[in-house]
Amino acid sequence: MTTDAAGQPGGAHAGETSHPFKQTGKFGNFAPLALKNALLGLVTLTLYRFWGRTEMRRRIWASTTLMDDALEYTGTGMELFRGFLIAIPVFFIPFILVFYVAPLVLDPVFSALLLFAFYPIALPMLGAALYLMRRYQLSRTRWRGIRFGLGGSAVEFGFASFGWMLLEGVTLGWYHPAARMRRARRLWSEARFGDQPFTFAEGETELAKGLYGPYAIGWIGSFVSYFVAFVPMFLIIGFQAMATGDFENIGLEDPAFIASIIGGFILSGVLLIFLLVLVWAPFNAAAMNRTAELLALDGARFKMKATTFGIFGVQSSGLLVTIFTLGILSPVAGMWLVRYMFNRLEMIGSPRLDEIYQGKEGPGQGEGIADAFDLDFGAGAI
Amino acid sequence: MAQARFSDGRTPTTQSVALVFAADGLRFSHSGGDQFWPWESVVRADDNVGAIVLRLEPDTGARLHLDQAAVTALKAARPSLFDRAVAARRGRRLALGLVALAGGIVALFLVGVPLAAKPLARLAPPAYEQQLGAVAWAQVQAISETCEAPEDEAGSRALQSLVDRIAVEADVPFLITVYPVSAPFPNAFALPGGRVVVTDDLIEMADQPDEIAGVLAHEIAHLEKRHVLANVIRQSSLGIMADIVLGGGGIGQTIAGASMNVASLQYGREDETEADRLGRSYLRDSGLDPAGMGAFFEKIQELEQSEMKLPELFSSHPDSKRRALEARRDALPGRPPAMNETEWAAVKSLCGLGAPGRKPRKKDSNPPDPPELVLPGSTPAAAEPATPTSAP
Repeated sequence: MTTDAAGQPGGAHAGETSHPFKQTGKFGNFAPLALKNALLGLVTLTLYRFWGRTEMRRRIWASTTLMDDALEYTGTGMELFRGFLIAIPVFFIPFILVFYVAPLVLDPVFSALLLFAFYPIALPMLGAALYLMRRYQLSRTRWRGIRFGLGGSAVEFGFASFGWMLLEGVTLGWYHPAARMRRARRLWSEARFGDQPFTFAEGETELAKGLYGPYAIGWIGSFVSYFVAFVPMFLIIGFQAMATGDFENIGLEDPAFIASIIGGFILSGVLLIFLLVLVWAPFNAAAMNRTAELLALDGARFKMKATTFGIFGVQSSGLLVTIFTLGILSPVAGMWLVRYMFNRLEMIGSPRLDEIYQGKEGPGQGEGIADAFDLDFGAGAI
Repeated sequence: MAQARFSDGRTPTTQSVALVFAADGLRFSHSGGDQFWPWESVVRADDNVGAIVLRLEPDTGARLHLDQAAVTALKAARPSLFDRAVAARRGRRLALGLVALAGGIVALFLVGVPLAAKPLARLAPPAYEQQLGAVAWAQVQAISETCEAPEDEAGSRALQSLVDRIAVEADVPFLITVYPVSAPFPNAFALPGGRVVVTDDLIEMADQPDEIAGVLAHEIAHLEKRHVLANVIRQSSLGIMADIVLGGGGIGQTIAGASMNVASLQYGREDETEADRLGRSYLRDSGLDPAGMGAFFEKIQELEQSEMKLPELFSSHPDSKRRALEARRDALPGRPPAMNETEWAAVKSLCGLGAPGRKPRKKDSNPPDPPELVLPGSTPAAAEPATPTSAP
């Protein structure tokens, strides 16, 4: 009998071995699957999406390894479908009643009030849905047969998210770095591997340390991006006006000119998206690195080395492939991002694996309304 | 020697074990004792990318991570674990099942909803329908101009008293009010909750009060049978279906939004035939001559002939010629006209119709789209309600 290094008792304290994660996802492995899912989605009125998403996850998990052993996704399409069926009476029916039926059959003032009251209930529900989605995914993730899990209260998380959203609103976004880290703390400090809880930011008071500089770049950069992206448009219009000498009527009766304006706006919009990805890349990289830094599992720490240009590269190539395939290959973009993150993530030190035991079983069904709002952020993958 | 790393499902540690490939299953020993995994319970836990991993079904959490020699031995001992055809068959069954489910949902909504729409509409309290009508009326007002100038008063009153006279014969749970509006197409339609809208172009088209009476009787019949509400139910449930199945992507809201333009709703052919028949009986019972309805349909038919003609199969309105014949067959000659000379003159001058500045409508130079050109189920833009019509 041999026992591998990671299993040695006290490994976490016996020296700082680094265990890098590896993600070996390949375009050729994911693009055909994405294509198949898109086609089946088409002929099943998108009902196949639950199974397609499951297959996509299984593949992403399976190509992610730590200490040579791959993660395993054990969720099923039927579980996601069941979650969706539960979401119909819980969310969709009230939604339809409030948005479609009430304005037609109730007193206008009352139905407007109902609509208004819907948001303070629906928005926390969205946060709670995100938490439930996370709980489901972790409970269906295993490594060496041991499952992950997420405790805590989805409702509490939902109301906390609502609070953060309000704070971000009144601070014109400047609360965002703090909100992002608090969110990570809520999600990670209730997460566990087997029966071993993760810890997040133990003894750390300044969660968002080092994030405000990169955030300022994104915040100011956004304004600059809007300006830069749309200046060429104004130049075109201005030149046209000068060429014709007609400042009152800038050639809007000329179809060629109108076409060039529309084309210009589309180009400006695309340029804007890439600029925004660029200016927010420093913050996104810093926030990912900071999140990894604050995370620990039984003494083992994590480290991520995401960089501004790395994030920009992977996100903009993801955008390109998504745009040029009309969204069909967007799961590939999701895989690229996951691959980028895991390949720059390492675990430093080792948790005492022989003292971690199998965890409790997770929820019986899938993600419900999270599906409705595409809470896995359009990647269709994670 | 075939080796594997074994994790027992209790802790995330692994230990090397030597595998024995027996005829009935896998045998190996580890620190916790001897294990036997019968073949019928062994399944793959990997996804065909990377290393081969085995587990038991039902899952105990235990995993065997095979080395290369073990993979070779497994392929020989249990080839079905590497057979992709099994998974492919299961995938095909699932896909076919889902296609059938999707088809069932579509059928439910395309067949079930239309079937349920009428009973539901009949069950709906009139107050709901009136609320809906208020929304629809606001939409109509946004795209057309109600004729309510002081000089329109006499004409409006004449139209209303004709409506009142016909409505006595109808079993409608709300008051019926008629609104002449100025719009660039000949049309008349009923809104939910009892509003009947008549355009100036339609009034201009009519040569005698009995034709207007025929149009109004037809619309009042739609109201009695609650066809209007049934239509709204039919169309908006399509949007709701799309919303539920697609998971709220906004597509359903778009469809439902478009269908809220109730003035644009199409009636089914049976609804039209029923409204014709019922309308004729109102006319008969209120002392009017159904022949006027026939005269109006003949004009519609003329309009259609000046345009490209679609076969009746594709249109929601029964053939105008047949409708005209049916109305003519019920003619009751000798009855007095639906309005006296003064009233008729007032109606014919509604919305500035008789005014010197107004260009008379030339039927040949600028024929409006005949109603039949719009296919049922099409959702025209809200800005042009000209095409969809519930004209008789």
